[in-house]
Amino acid sequence: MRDLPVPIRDFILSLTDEMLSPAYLFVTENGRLLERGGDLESYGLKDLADDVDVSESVPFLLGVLPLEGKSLFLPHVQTKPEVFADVYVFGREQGTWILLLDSTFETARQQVMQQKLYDSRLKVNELEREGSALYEANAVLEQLVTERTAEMAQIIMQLRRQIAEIERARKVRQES
Amino acid sequence: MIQKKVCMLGTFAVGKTSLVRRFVESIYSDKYHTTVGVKIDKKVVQVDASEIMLMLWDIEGTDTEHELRTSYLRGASGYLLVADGTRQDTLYKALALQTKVTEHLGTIPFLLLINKADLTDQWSIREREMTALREKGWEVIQTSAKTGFGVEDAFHSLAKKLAEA
Repeated sequence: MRDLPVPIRDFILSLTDEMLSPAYLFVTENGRLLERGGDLESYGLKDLADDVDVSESVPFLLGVLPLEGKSLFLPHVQTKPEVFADVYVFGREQGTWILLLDSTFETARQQVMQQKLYDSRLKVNELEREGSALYEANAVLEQLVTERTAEMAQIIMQLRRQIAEIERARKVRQES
Repeated sequence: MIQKKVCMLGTFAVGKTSLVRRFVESIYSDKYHTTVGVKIDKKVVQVDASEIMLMLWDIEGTDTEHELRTSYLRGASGYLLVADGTRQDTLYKALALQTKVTEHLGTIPFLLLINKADLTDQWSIREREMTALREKGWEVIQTSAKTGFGVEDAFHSLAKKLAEA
């Protein structure tokens, strides 16, 4: 926060503290807990034992440690019912820091937008499916009409032949 | 107890969350709630004489493999690819996801689940497509989160693969 006067820095820090409920864990490279702090309880993290592999009691850390690369970001991790956190994992010489910042509000906001988007896409899929079913039904109907028309044409021709036959027979009878 | 991280992967609305809820809590809801981020559940599974704790990472559905956040995959021992039998494109997207996961994690155990087996009269994924994948060596299981059909089998089958890996 270069070029920012102390009151502004302090204000930003208090705002962060108020809105993002920061909490942290500090662990060895292999995940043994060295230090913890902040509002861990709000994330459902309590009764963490010192010098024990944290991934045994913190599900989102399973497989994460030792850290590959400099840092890892896990956005919108549900840490307990209705509570989400952005999780930042970053390594320093002394060990690995795990920082949690509350993202419950942002997750809920995104959920509403995403729900609308996906609902509408599912609706489009459904309409496409119905449209294609209608198209197929129409093709079947057209085929039926063609077949019936051919059948009717044959029947009409047959009837005409029969009428001509009857007419011929009637003339023969009249002449005799 | 051995813990194994398992990721649920697939495009949106294929039933990943419903499959986890059916498996972990034996419940199902018809209402669709999209997942944002990741929800983690766990369940102990018995494989032969040993028990494995499956840590199930229900990861938000993506429309394309490019949108998959690979940081969620870190440390995964296996994964379940999920497609919706009534939406053929979800199978193609699952195939693309599988390629991306293999690029990222290498070859690890996985299964392909064709979900919504309670709606087979509306399926657009054909038997021949599933057969072709089985011939490639994939394990393909039909599931229904709604009725529970195939769900236990799917998770147990993956747990068995994880135990053998």
